[in-house]
Amino acid sequence: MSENRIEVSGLNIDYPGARVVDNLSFTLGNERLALVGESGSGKSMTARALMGLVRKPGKVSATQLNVLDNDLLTLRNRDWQSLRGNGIAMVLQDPRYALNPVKSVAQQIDEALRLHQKMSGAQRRERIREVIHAVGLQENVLARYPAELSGGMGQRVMIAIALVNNPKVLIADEPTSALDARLRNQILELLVEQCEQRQMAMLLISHDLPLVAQHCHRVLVMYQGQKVDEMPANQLSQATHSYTRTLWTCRPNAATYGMMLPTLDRSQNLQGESNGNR
Amino acid sequence: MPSYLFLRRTLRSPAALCGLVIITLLVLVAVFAPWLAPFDPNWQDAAARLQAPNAHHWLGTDSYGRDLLSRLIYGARPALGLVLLVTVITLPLGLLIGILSGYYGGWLERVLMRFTDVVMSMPRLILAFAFVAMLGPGLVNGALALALTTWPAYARQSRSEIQRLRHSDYLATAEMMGIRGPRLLAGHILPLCLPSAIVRLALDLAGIILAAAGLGFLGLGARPPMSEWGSMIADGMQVIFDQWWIAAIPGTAILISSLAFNLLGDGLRDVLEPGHE
Amino acid sequence: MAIVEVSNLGVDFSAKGQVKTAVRDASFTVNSGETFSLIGASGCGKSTILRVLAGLQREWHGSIKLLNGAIKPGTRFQGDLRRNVQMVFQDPYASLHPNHTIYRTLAEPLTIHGEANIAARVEEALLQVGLPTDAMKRYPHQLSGGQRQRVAIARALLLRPKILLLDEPTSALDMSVQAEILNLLNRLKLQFGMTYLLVSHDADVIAHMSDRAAYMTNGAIGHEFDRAALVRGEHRMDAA
Repeated sequence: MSENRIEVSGLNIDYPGARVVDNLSFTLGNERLALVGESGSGKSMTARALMGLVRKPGKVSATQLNVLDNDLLTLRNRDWQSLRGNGIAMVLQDPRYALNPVKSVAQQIDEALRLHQKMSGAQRRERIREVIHAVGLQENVLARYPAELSGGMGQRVMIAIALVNNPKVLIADEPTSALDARLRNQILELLVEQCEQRQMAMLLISHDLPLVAQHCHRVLVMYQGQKVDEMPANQLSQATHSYTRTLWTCRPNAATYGMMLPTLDRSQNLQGESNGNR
Repeated sequence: MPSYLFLRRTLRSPAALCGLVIITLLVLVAVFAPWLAPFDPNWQDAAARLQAPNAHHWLGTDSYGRDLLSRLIYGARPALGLVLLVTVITLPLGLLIGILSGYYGGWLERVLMRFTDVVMSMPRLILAFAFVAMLGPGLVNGALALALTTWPAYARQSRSEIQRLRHSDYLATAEMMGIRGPRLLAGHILPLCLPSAIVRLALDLAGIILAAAGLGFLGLGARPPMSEWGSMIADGMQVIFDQWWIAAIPGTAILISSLAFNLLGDGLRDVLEPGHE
Repeated sequence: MAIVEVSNLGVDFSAKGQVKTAVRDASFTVNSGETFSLIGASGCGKSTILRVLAGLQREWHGSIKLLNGAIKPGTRFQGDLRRNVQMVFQDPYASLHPNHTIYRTLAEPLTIHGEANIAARVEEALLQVGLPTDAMKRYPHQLSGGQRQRVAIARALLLRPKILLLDEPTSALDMSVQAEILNLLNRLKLQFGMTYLLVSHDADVIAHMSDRAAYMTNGAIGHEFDRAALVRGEHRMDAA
């Protein structure tokens, strides 16, 4: 039993006409790793490959693709069903689209439980109450439907559904992008707290560097499907790779008033500058 | 999406491709009927009545001794003529009324929509009877009746699409640019309503072919001796237990044509689904 | 010198017998050559104010002076006023007509207003926003979000407006693309001497772009901030 919960080596994801993830390698132990990049960088696709959600005509290939010692490349359907939502769970970006609009909150969390655990009705209800409190919500939310929830509450419900089976790995795909700035930190703090409490690893997909620097241990920067930089999260502000530097410095704020913001020179080949492999 | 992309994507769908191939074959058969049919479809050979399919008459003969294969081939003409007539009347009329009421609203919308409701409430076959009673039996009159009762659904559909679009950024920017009136309606709004209207038409045609065959069966469509699949079935009804192929063969042709439009419509509709953008 | 003067602007929407007040009693001025921003959470009414000033929302009450002429509710903008006030919308995927080539999107407004040398003007417009001229043959779905927004900006500038209304112009874009678009907007503002009215929920964008800003909640304009206040981040505390 290796201590790495995720092991990826030489991952390629191909669509007709384009390679959206190119030769990606990384590992995830009991830590919080961020995959950072812009649209088209391949970070979301990577998450989907780890959950077995890449459908035709997409093709996943790799030298090694292991999650919790399961070889994803040869995993059978039945084993996928018991891995997804159980050993590894995912939280998506927009609760409006990810939650079932015609089922109540309680029903959706219950469904996640029933799929993976054999528990009596009373035990399930107890577990649901536990997890709802863990994400900072009151029990009266259980009877509501997704349309009645605010953005922040909907996101917490999604997290509850993901956490209810005590997964070893949580993938969060832009969990705060659809939320107001005020809520973003709250939700990330909730995720970090749950990771610590449950000794759960987290793969955070984001384009928000300051957020990532604050809440994660390590960062992996992707550009056009490839890994271009990798470093401890607290060193982001001192990054030397040109792409990472640009991502960090291109943000507007009061001090940049009247100035031109640093931008990416997209004609340059950025891959060659790959910075430090662990 | 632009039309070339729409076409290309449609052709990738197996359902649509299949439907399109069948329809193309149908068109070719109709156009080249005189060269393809082995016999004159109206030539009666009393000695050769009610023959089963054989080497001379590949699909046999009917109760008048007419070659069924030739009649089948020539029967493609009224079928396609009908499709063309319905398309030419339904699409422009339905879209025009729908777009005008959806865009201008107000009293224009109320008047046009009430008119649409009235026409929509008319049952097809009854109206076909009425036309035939007024103008006499004939393929064109039956087809006209069908076409004039089909356009209301298109008007409603395009009207509700436009009501949705009225708040879109496309139309807001057009307004900022000063684009108004016919230029806006034809150049900006129509292209947005056309795809779903075309999908609807393909699916409707499947039903219309069946309806026309029904009219023909009832004697309201093509007059004898015209080869029309619906009336051919009627001819075959009297001898259906012994010479079943006389009714079954045109019936199969109707089935296949209707199916072809259904498949095409399905394929087109898949292309319009949000996942394809 | 004030180029936009809004006094006691109110906008009410009635749906199914219920009246919703989107904007209540809003008053502010925008001076020539500055960037003035409205900041607030979604639904606070800032976009509605923009649409009133664009001439898209024609039901309102109050008094508005645009470019030294009063405008009245219920009237469409025509002629010079229509040319002088233009807008860039938020969603780059929704403001370019999917069935039109970029050439047509840019040429059409010029044709309608009777301009000459259309092909040359279209080329010039594309170059001004940093797009290659072969982009004119493409369709919107062949361009990225950032490229589409550039086309939208190019189109807004075709008629040489004096006032440019910007409705969250970069919120649908990646961070690095946002930087490029903000740079472009600032460059063009200097080059053509325009006045900007910017609406956003992003406090950082506001702090970078604006000379002055006002905070909105529930349809009403609250605090106004000058440059010093923006630097101190006062607009941020209330920002959602």
